[in-house]
Amino acid sequence: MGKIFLVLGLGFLIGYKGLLQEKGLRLNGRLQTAFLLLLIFCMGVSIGRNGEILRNLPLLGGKALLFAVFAILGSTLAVYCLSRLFLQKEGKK
Amino acid sequence: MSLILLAALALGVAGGVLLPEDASAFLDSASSVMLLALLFSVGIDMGRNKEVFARIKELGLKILLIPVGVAAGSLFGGAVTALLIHLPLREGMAISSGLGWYSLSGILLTEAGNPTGGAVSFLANVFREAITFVIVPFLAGHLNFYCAIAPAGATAMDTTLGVISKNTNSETAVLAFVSGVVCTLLVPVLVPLFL
Repeated sequence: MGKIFLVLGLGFLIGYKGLLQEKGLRLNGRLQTAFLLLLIFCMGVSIGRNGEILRNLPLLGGKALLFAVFAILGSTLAVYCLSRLFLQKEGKK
Repeated sequence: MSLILLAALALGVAGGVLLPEDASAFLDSASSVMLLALLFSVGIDMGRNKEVFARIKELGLKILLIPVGVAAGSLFGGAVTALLIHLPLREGMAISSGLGWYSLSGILLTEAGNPTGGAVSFLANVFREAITFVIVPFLAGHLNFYCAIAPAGATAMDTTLGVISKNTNSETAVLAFVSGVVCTLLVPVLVPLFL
């Protein structure tokens, strides 16, 4: 976990200080897509290796749907309360 | 892009089923290095959002209430769901702190040695994005424009910005974008906190 914050922070500094030129940034974008696709592939591999996940996929999908619904409800409720309390004037319909 | 992601995932699942054990074990171990490379690259992109940081100063710190509310509400929703389906609270909060960024949250949980949680997180955040498309018009019409930003989470800066902008006004669209960027910054920080 420490490593995660270290590389994130290091990258952030490089981006913030503008150490990369246009060309470097484009390369960074391409590498990012490549790593993302590879990692999603690897995620698929660990799912495929694990017979239990595959067998339980409908159940896991149901759990995921619950998570999505409650995260949305919680977010909307929190933003509604905060906006009523602090952002009243702006953003009325 | 999302179709390509799904194709990569499907290929991976097929690979996991078909590949010999040592090949898939190798991929598992190689992926932890790739994760660090990905996060480094994501960090660079994050640091470049200078205009957004300037915008936040200009509009006042008050607008941070929106992404803070989104994150806090998501964590609360994740905790409630975890209680309902008897999962550890931390895992539930890790799943919901994906804030709609399904690829990264799924990867982070999987890399932390929880492929089941990774699969749930991936799906949960895909569903979050899909539901957002459907309910934004309703929220904009029945609650207020700020609430139309809430379900989008991190996706408010790209995939769901269009539907928000279409159903609210240009001022709200700017707030949505800023909120999406802040949520995107929060995801790689929040998810590991709960792992």
